[in-house]
Amino acid sequence: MNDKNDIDVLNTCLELLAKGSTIEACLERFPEAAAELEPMLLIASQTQRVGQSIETPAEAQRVGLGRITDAWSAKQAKRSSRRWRIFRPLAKSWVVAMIAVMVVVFGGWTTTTAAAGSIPGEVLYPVKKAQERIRLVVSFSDQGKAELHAKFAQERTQEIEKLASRGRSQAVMDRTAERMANHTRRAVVLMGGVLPTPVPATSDFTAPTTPPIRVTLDPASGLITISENKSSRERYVMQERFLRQYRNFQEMQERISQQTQPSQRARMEESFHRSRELLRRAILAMKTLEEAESRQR
Amino acid sequence: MQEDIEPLVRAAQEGNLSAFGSIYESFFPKVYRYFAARVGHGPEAEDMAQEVFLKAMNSLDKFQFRGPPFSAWLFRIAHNLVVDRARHTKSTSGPPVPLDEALALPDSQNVEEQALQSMDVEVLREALEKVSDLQRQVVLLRFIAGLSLAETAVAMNRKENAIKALQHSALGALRRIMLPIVSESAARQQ
Repeated sequence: MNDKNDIDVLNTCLELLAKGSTIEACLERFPEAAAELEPMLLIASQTQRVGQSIETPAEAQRVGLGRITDAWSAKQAKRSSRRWRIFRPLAKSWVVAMIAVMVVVFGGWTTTTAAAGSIPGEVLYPVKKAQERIRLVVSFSDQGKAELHAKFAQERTQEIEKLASRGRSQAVMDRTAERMANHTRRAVVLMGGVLPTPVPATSDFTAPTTPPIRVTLDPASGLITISENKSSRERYVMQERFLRQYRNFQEMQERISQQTQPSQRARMEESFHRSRELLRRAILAMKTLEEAESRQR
Repeated sequence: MQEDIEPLVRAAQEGNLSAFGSIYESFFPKVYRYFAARVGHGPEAEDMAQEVFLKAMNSLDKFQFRGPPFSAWLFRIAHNLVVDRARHTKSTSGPPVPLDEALALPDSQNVEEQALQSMDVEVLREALEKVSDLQRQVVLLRFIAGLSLAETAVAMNRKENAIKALQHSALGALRRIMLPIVSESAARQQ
């Protein structure tokens, strides 16, 4: 066999192996080249085996996705800022809000996409907030508003996590955690007319104008069941939202356990506990009110 | 693969972050393996793998479907990154070791097979340090990242026949280099 043949035979065998054939079958097909071929095919298959045995580090993959998300937002923000340069002299918060109105009304997506990834303290964050307010205003049903509040509560949780991982100040994280709890409370109020008060104050609540909902929380799964006066779809949507919120907490906890840098880990733990406590208090408030109402009846 | 990835790449080019996220999820393991086999497990490989996607994101607008397949395009970025880093760090691998270095092959084919079974990523890395840049690149792309001959040719900007010749010489060189290493490694483990 000449060199050209050796090269082609090896490649043919590699292609056959890639399609699921065996080294033995290749050697039988090219017996005259078997002695030369076998060690090379062994090396190739062992190299592939080694390659497949390399485990992907899940944490690094997640961190990478975070880096990409941030870079993507920055890229979109850069594009949109170029687009809106003409308005720069008027860049007050109400102008930013107006831009958000235009985005919502005219269905544009560039600023929306850019602002969607922003966190408190960033230039586009007011756009995101204004856009959320507008979505609440243009959502006419309680069901729609409740869904939006639940969605925004999840958004705040993710923001807290990002703030913690970027080492932002505790005060900013606290404000965001408060917003998260407010959205959660409003979502529940809108779904059932229960008005939670600061917790747990049974003597200090406003009586609901509509029949209250029954709220139960399964501590094991985090599933909140809303069982009265609402259609099955509405209940399902709310349960899904809350369940997702609960999963966010679980994921956050997992990431904390994987965080090796002590200072960052401590910050993440602190914000996690504060957020979880606020959500727990919101749920407790609902339950306390519900119990008080059933006693009044 | 190219057909599956095309809609995602088009959506990402139009500004859809979640489409780019799907591309990332799909290719990250391969890209990481490529770097882990090249520079070893750990932060450097992780950082380089992330860097590839950041660079891909920034040049996504330039990617054209009429050109190389997406996977080949992505690994060309990975390769360029390795070259850039090596240039910056003046390469830590030291001078190349001649392939004809006296490395005796064992007598029995069976011994060879047994020795290869004990090969791991560190053994592979050690061996890859001793082959030429082009041979190393072809092994990483073909057998670690799992690219086809055609994709490898595009990623390395060479003709398919050249890749065939390179993979032949690379496997021959690895055979000569690797057996003493794996035998020694197996002996250490015993």
